Amino acid sequence: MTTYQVLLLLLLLAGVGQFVLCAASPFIPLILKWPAQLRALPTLLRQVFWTYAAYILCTHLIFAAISVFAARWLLDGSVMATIMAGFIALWWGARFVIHLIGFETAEVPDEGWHLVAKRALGLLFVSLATVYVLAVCFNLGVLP
Amino acid sequence: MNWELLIRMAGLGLLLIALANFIVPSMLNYRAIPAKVDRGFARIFTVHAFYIVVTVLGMGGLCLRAPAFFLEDGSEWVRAGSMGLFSLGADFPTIATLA
Repeated sequence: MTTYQVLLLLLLLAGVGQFVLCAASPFIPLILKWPAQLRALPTLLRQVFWTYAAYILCTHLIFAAISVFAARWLLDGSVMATIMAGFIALWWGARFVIHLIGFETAEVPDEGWHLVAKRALGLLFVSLATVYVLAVCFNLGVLP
Repeated sequence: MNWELLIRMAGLGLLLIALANFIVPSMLNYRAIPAKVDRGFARIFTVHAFYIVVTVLGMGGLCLRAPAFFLEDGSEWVRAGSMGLFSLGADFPTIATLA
């Protein structure tokens, strides 16, 4: 397989991974008990929070859709494709760093499926960032 | 109609919205949030807000630096429309607060 074909496959898998993440996202508020937390906040802040969460989810859906249905565009070497791949790479790279040091994951039990989910999310974030970094490198002509 | 100019003006508006997101926290008293919720939840709120601001900044930068991206190739309506919907929804809390 050529580098291009491998990257196409990786982008497709990245897109599927992001679709899976989107499918699991509605359960996160229940697992982390967001409704109970939000009851302590004023109405406008609750609305702001849910609006932000919805837009983060939609952004993930767009990333997934682009990766699955427009992977060739992400690798066409154009400036916009490079910028988009770079933006997505930064998005997931930052998310991975936040996953490691920015969130109080200690509040989620380190046992059973909670631990599996934590590890799986970390692996997903770093994998996604890596795939899009490779896409950027390919667009810049760095990869063979 | 000079669409490029309009898109650049939209970009400027997006940058102003992003800037407003640094004013809104004091107006909505974000500092009081950690006292009312778990620390982990407060960080999720901060991270989400950070990502929204970065995305709005990115869209604003794109409009200012490359307005032609939204005016060529036949898919310009998809790109522009997607950004328009995102801006309207994500920026609404900021606009509502400052209004």
